Amino acid sequence: MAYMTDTGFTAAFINYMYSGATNTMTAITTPLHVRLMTAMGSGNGNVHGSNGTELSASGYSSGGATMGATAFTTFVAASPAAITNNNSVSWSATGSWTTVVGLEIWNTSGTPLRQAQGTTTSPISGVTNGDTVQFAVSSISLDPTSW
Amino acid sequence: MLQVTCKQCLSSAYVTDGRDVHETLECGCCPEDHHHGQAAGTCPRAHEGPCWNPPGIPVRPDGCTVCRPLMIQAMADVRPGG
Repeated sequence: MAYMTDTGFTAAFINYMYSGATNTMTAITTPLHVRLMTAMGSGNGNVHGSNGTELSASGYSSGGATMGATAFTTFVAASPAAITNNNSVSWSATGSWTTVVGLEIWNTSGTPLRQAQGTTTSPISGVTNGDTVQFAVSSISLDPTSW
Repeated sequence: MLQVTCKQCLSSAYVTDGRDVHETLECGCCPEDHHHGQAAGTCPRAHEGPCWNPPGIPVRPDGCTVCRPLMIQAMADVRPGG
């Protein structure tokens, strides 16, 4: 996959919010995908960044796995102020995996863009043939206040 | 912290960082540490102990071809645009 950063997505969103001349937003194609990372990328919504290093392993397909039609719950002003994934995402390993340290969430537009990234609470290591790696429902949280 | 569950007997444990996920779970399905991913029929200790009769499964499930595969559950916090 070509080199891409989240900047394209967030820049479009900033234009949508603040720029009268280009205040349109390209539709986001779903489903969103979870990609597993062996090294995290960099950057945030306001600076250029780089993608992480995606896992390459038996039982994992490049581009990640779908989060389903409605990936996350709807944000409401509640505590904790975060939304979480609606569907579980899992992979069945058919060989040994290198350590996974985080994930990225991408849309599936014609030119996919990274929409979020973050580390796992613990590295996922020691995965071998026959194991299943799963993010259960509500295990991926996205805090809008951290943008 | 990861949560690991034996896919045979459903025993579960939490794994602290740095510990091996397979060694952490002491469900007795296979005490040999060489077996992971190995065909059960070639592992001398496979399916001894409680996994002969795992909860809710009265007999050894057919089609079980690997020894103590795990469900490894992780969590993550992500940042929008991050």
